[in-house]
Parts: sequence; structure tokens; C-alpha cells
Amino acid sequence: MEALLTLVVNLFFFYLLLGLFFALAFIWKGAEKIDPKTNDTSWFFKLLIMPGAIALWPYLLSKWVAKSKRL
Amino acid sequence: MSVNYAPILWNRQKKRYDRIMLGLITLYLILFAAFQLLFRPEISPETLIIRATATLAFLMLHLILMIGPLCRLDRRFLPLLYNRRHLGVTMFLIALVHAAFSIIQFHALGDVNPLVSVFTSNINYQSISQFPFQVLGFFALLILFLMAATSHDFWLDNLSPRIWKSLHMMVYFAYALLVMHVLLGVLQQEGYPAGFIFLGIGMVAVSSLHLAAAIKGKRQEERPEGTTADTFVPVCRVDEILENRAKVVIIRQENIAIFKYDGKLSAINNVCKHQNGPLGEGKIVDGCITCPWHGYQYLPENGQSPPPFTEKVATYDVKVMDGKVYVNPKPYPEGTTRPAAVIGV
Ligand code: HEM
Ligand code: FES
Repeated sequence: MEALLTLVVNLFFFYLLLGLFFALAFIWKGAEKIDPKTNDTSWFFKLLIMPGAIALWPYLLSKWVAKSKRL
Repeated sequence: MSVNYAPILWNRQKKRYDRIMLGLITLYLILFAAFQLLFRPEISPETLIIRATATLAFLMLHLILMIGPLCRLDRRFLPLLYNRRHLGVTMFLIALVHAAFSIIQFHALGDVNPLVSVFTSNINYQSISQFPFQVLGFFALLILFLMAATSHDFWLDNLSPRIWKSLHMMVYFAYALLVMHVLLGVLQQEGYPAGFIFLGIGMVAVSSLHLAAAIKGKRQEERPEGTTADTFVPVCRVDEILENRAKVVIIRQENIAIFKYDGKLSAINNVCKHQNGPLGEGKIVDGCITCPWHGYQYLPENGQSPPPFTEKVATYDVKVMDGKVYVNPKPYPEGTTRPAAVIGV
């Protein structure tokens, strides 16, 4: 039981770590790609969307990929 | 208005809202600390912080859940709704302080990863009296985090209003988890009678307000037809309405939004079923009228939310003559399909 829970918690942290890397790339390039309204927004705005990007990165990644394919 | 996102939209009213909110939060924390130190002088600072932030966040969650139905029952509560987003994010941050201090206090001293310890230090999952209530708090916190993290309009636009709305409906699940977190945690272990009474009052207040608002909504749905004369009223020129936007008119107390899209015009009731948001200030996104407040959606021709949602608003007849828009203020029952008026060449 404990080993299993440890694994799940570690996977959770790993997911968030990947999310962190993704979120940095996302606020640098991806956000502009999927939503032009983020062009020229402040660093504070980007900081505000960071936590959500860390948590929901697979969704945003799929949107980013889909957008890149269409262009 | 700029076309790009602003980090946080503040105006005079919202600043006032936030100032009052922060003032009340400070007042609560001071009173709570004073009260505890008076009656339990042996309390440790960590425990004081854990309890003060826990009760404050839980209280704020009750308020947040009550604002919606209150506004539906009486429009005078609308100012409370106006900046509920900031209330929600602040509540999450306070709950986060509670959780962080709890984890530090109870789980950070061993050699197990603190978060693993939350799940494994107590594994009496079959027991009621010993239930690991902290796990319930963790999942509630996760939901509150997702809501706070996606509260910016950027997320409403990019998650699609439907996903966004489903995500934010999970607040009710978080509330249920927290009721159990408190009930199976401190209340059961320490059994303060006052705690049970407060929790009971909170649950009754939240649920009865939701019930009352639902009953009121049902009544409005059954409003009698044909009480107003069956006539069209001129509104404006067709070109005064922008594509995918609306013109709002109030005729004989009917609050009507007339939308222009794809060379057509449709009219629906201007009042969103969620929390009375002004639908006519929203725009048409992916073929749906999208409420500017939290993104509930309605189809222009029948006023129905696309499945699986079930909200419906009243519809009206519109027609176009000589480049002018006319609307008949007689409402059709909510969700009635009315043919859109085609804008001629
Ligand atoms: C990881 C998440 C969480 C953990 C580990 C946690 C842990 C705890 C612990 C250990 C207590 C008992 C404190 C005591 O004996 O004084 C407690 C009580 C409580 N928690 Fe949490 N909690 C979490 C999340 C939350 C959240 C999100 C809320 C939302 C508002 C919340 C609200 C409360 C309340 C109202 C109490 C009872 C207050 C009191 O102690 O008098 N908790 N929690
Ligand atoms: S009022 Fe909340 S979505 Fe319309």
C-alpha cells in the first residue's frame, strides 16, 4: 500500500515537473500561438497563467500541436 | 478596452470590493487570534495559524457558494457577485496556507515525503472514527487550486467555456469533501458542540438558498403567455449591431438581447441563467451566445444551452424591414425555437 501510494505521489510530482518545463515554453512561445490576445502582455499576466499551464499542460500541448499543424 | 489580456482587471468598484474583502479578512484573523489566546492561551502559533486560516477559508467558501443564489433571488446582491473571482482566488490562497502549515506541522518531520505521509501516516480508510480526513482536504484543495489557476479570462477563452464551466462546477464536490474533512476531523475528534452547530447552519444556509433559487427559477419558467400585446417594436438599424454581437433593449420590462450573426438576427432574453449575467454584452463564440461573466452558452435560435447542459432562456420574434430591426417583446417559453430573421440584401 505504502509503496503504491509513494509511486502515485511521485508520478504526480513528475507530472508537475514536466508541467513546469512545459509552462516555461508555453508562456515564452505557445500562448501567443494558441491565442493572439496574449501578444505583448505583461510578465505579470504570464506569471498568472503559469500555475494553470503547469497543471493542465497536456491539454495546452495538444492545442499547441494542433495549431502548429494547421499553419 | 485593449485587445490583449490585462493581468488583473481592476476598476474603482473592484478595488473597493477588494479593499473591503481584505479589511474583513484582517479583522477576522485578529478577532480569531484574540479569542483563541484568551480562551486557550496554551495554543501554539502553528496551530493558531492552521485553525485561523482553515475556518476563514471555509467561511469564505460558504459566502462564495451563497452569492450565486442570493443574486438570483434578489438583484440587490449583484455587487457581491461582481468580483467574486478575487474572493475565490483569495480563499484558495488562505486554504493553501492552512494546508501548508498542516503538512509542515504533521508530516514534514519524518523521513517520508510529506505528501506521501498525508496519504500513508493514517491508513484507516475503512474506519469512520479514525478516517484520514486530511486526504479529503487535499483533494478539495486540488479542486480549489484548479479553479483559482483557471480563473483568468485567458482560460475561459482557451479551455472553451464548456470545459471551464464543468471545472468550476466541481466547487460543489470540493464543498462536500470539506464538510467531511471538518466532520471526520476536528469535530469528531474534539467534538465541540459549537462546531457542529456552525457547520449545520452553514450547510442549511447553502442548500436552502440553492433550493429557493431553483424554485424561483421554476416559477419564472411558468410565466403566463400572451400578457402583452402582439406587436413588433422598432429597435435600431441593422448596421448598428456588430457581427456576432448584440443590441440590448428593455421593452415592457422584457430585457432582450438581439444578436446578429451569419446574416441573421435572433433575440433571446438578456439574463443569463447562471447568475443573471448580461448575455447581450457577450458575443457569439462557435455559434453560441456566450455569457461574458462565466461563459455559459446558449444557441441563438432557441435559447438553449448545448447538451449536456440544460439551461434555457426565453426567445422572441425578430424581423427586418427596410434595414430596420423590429422585435416582438412577447416572450416564448424558455427554449422555444424561433426562426431567425434573415437580413435581406
Ligand atoms: C492538503 C490539504 C489539507 C490538509 C493536510 C489539512 C489538514 C488539516 C488538519 C490537520 C486539520 C486539524 C487541525 C486541528 O486539529 O486544529 C484540519 C482542519 C480543518 N481544515 Fe484542513 N487540511 C487541508 C485542506 C483544507 C482545505 C482546502 C480547507 C478549505 C477551506 C480546509 C478546512 C479545514 C477546516 C475548516 C478545519 C477545521 C478547523 C479547526 O481546526 O478548527 N482544509 N485540516
Ligand atoms: S452569469 Fe455566469 S455565465 Fe452567465
